[in-house]
Amino acid sequence: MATIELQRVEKKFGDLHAVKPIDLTIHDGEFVVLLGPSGCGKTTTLRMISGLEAVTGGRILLNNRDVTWAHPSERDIAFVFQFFALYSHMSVRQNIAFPLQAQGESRETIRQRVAEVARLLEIGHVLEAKPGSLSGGDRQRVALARALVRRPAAFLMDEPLGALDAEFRETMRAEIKRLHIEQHATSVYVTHDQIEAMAMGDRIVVMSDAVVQQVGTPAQVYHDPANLFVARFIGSPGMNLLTGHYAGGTVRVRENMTYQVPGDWVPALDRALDGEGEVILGFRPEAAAVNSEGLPATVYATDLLGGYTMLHLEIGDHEIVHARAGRETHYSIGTPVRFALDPAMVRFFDPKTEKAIVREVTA
Amino acid sequence: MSDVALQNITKRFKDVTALDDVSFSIKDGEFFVLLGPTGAGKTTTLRVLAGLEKPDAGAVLFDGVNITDFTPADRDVAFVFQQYSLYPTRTVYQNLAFPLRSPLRKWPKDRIDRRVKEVAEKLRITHLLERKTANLSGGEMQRVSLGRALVRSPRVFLMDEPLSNLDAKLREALRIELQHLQKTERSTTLFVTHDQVEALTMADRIAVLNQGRIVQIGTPDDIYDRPVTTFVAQLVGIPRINLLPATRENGTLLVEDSALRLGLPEGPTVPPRFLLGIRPEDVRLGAGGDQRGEVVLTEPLGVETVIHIQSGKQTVLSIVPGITALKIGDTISFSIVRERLHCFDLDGARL
Amino acid sequence: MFGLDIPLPDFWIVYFFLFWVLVGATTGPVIFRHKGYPALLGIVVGAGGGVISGALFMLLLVAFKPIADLLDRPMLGVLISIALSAAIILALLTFARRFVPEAARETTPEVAAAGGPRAPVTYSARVDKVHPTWQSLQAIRASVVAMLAALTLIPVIWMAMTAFKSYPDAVASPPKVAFDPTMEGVITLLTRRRQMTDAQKAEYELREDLNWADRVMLKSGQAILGQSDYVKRLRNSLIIASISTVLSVTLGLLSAYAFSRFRVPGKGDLLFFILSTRMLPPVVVTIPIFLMYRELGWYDTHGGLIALYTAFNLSFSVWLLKGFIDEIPKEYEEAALVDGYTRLQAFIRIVIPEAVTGIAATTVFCFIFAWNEYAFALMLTADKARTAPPHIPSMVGSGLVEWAAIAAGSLFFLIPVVIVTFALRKYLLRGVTFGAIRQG
Repeated sequence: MATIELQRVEKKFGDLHAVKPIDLTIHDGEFVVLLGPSGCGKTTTLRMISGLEAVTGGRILLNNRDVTWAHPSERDIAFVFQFFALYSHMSVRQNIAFPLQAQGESRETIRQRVAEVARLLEIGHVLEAKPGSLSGGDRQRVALARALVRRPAAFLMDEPLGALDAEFRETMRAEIKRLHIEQHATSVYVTHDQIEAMAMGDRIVVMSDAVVQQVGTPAQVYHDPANLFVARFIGSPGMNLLTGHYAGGTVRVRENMTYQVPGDWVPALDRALDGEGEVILGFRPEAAAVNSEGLPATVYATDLLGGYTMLHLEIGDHEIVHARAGRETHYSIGTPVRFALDPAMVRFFDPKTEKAIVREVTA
Repeated sequence: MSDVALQNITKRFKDVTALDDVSFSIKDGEFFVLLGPTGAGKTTTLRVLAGLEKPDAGAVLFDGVNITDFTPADRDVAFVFQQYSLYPTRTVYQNLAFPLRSPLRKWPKDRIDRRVKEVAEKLRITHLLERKTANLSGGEMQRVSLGRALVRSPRVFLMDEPLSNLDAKLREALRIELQHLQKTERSTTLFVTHDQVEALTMADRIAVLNQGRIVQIGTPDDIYDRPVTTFVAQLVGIPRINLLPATRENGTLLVEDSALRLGLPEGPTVPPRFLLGIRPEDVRLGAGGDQRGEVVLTEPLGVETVIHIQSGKQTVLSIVPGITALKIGDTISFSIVRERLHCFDLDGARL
Repeated sequence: MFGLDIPLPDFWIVYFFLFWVLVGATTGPVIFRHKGYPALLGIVVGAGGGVISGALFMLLLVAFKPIADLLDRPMLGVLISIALSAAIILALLTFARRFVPEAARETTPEVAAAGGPRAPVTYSARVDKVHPTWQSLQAIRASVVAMLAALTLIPVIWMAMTAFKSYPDAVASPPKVAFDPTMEGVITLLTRRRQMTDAQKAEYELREDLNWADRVMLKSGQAILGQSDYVKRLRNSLIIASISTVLSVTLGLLSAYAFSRFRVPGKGDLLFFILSTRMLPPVVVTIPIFLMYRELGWYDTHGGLIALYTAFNLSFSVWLLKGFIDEIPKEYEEAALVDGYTRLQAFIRIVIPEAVTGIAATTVFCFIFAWNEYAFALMLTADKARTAPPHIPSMVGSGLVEWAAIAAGSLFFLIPVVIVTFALRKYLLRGVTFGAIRQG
């Protein structure tokens, strides 16, 4: 359907740099997620792609056509808003037909397309109702139908699941993704929820403070975060990060806590830190196994979730480490425990640059 | 801290019945969670407890004493609102001190000062004391709201979805802190939420509320492993429980519109047509499985992946650890753990 | 003017000339900024273009006059001239940049090449709202508004000038714009005088204890006897307006809070009833009220007028304040209730500080109404409680009308309200739009 290319696109509000220059290529049929906390610039970037916000610099290309200054209606994109933006005085059918009427399509075409889209999204039974009487999930389906009916080159979605109840969010998430696959639609999706991003994205663009932190597949951003921000932001809870002193193949986190660095990491650390220095050790909760050997800690809190237990361990001074354990694990607060780390899942970061230390792949 | 009991509380607003014969009790020091969708009546329950609404029928008891007619001030409860709880034109210090300055208390100035600093220390907001609350971030504001409640040492804490308006990351961090605080202080807390993760992780016991009625009361394990209705079963669990229409034929279970066949589970007798509930973690993928299906969607969440499997017209969700190599369109075999099946009749009640 | 036969009065010539300069000075920077030049340059060039346009406008008027006379359509010439000079000024601005040296340009080549504005758009705007033409139109619109505002102020300025004119200047025809100011009018307003005969005047001149005011009135042969009633009237106005405002705002605040927070039976009906008192022109009920007041013995008392103004302001006050209090989340008071405060304490400590802007807006409106009220003040007062509005026109006697004194009286009457309104203008905007538009 469409390739979207952003070339050094940036946005400034006076002196405030809302979006620093971005280079991004979205391939035909790809589902790209712009992910980040509030204020990181993801919504502004989406709005620049749509034309609702004028760029301060750079170019936007849609199918190799320069659309940087094209009117939003000339860009052949559909925008889905967080708060649905449905016309409350019109019926669902009229809402969906509206974009086609604006384009001047014939009545027959409109009728056909509305029926098609309503069948696709299973809202045929509410076509005559007003949006105000529908549930949140149904309203979002109507908003999606309105976007779909135009058969645009690309879909831009601004946190469409944000206004829905938790139960709807899961089902709508899968629905949107399945719709995307069936329609082969190029989509750009904005969210602050990293679970949504991981579940839906073909590629995720992690942003923070107007800057792109990392672009990668869910697997890449999860297992190989490029810097500390991505490591903390992705995953619930985020990656555990312990600061320590590296020397001679071990990292000393605390007086009584020394971690033996796995052999294949030693050359990389030696090179990055010039033999010794401060380093940050990172590992995901599933990499930490609570047993009788390993690093010492005290239980701070326990989350007994249906399928597993999340242990929050205090290693001293308000510093919490999260470890994932089986369902049957029950610890009371204050119990001293030990935990060991899976050597394949540890990562290291340079505290000065906040970037990940890269381990060379040995053939 | 007190025991709290609600007995047969009914509350109507014009022609809408917000609460219908609601009864439950909270033990001293317990973290009790009221879980339910929007509009279930959770906030109304809290407000009846606080004295901000008068029930049309029923009684509220603190330590066995009927306090239904007491004013909010006399009940000595602390209320943490979802939003709009802080006065924006006042500093954090003034907001924290406000409850202590009420005429009911008559505390001397230095005692107020000490208590405010103590609570600020506990919530790690001492550095914000002189700032106007309008200039705080969302997480800081909620900590100050909690501080306002803590500062008084009331008999009961009532919290109305205090974490709902926060960013996902902030919610996690504050949730853990709240858990730790409650467990160490042993304060009687009634916590209202629509988020089942919050409910499962923090509660000693949970009451599920739907359309003004209590559906089930129990520990998180009870709610998760033995839901009494399909509503409760679908409310907890990420991803949601698979709920499939099924029929019984001789000794086997057939899931309608699909190729799934299972042996009957032990336990109560099952009517000819019923609803089958399977938790995604009980759908085990593997070559030795006796069921077959096609992968229609994969949702990688990092720590695990949700697989949507299609069999006939039905979709079954399964969850596998880590990242999977499965692609859309792959045929896979899987098995279902028979001991952990849930059976419900067509009305949704547990069999 | 300038020896040319321009078919417009002098005033309008100056007015239109200034208008063209303003249009040029506001659209110039917009266009220049988008072409990549500094805004200041745009202002200078735009103003220059405006001057040229204005002059051309005059010349065109003269040129078209014979045709207009022929067709017997005087305004035709004016309209064509406006249209032509508008076209000329825009053309001037567009071509003006050719004469600016290259060095003055600030531009980003990538943006320029893509067809957008030459200067970066560092504010929030949709792409189609960024085009210089659209923005220039907005600037022209602003200029029109500014000139209309200036036009609206002219009567007030004229009144202020008249207050300091001597009698001949005040009644001069054609009206005098330039004049020698004198305090005659002011003194006439504030004093009682006696006309002296020539003999008394000669005697008077020799006195030692004459102050500056005496000397001024001496010129027209009048001796000052003492203070006039004006100051007393002004003081009455102040007392009555202030007290009635305080009362209506206080009572209104308490009622509005009750309507907003409590379940009052028949609330909708009561609110409508309160609003309905606003639906008739107050003048309609002057006679019945006059009769009532006479029976009660409230005729010509301060209390009578205060009660009346309070009653009329209450409806407005309740409605406006209810709107503001509705905006304050009731969780604020509920938190206080739960903490141990009584509802009254919660009201005083929380609601009132949060509603301060609403209270300010309501106060200003109530004050303005009570201050300017004329009909009831005229009918229900005689001497003791008479306020300024009925008093000022009463100086229009038969024979010589003291225009300067009347102007001075109106001016002094105007000043307190202007000061109060200007000081609280931020709150007024919120009040007028019921808080829908957030200002400052």
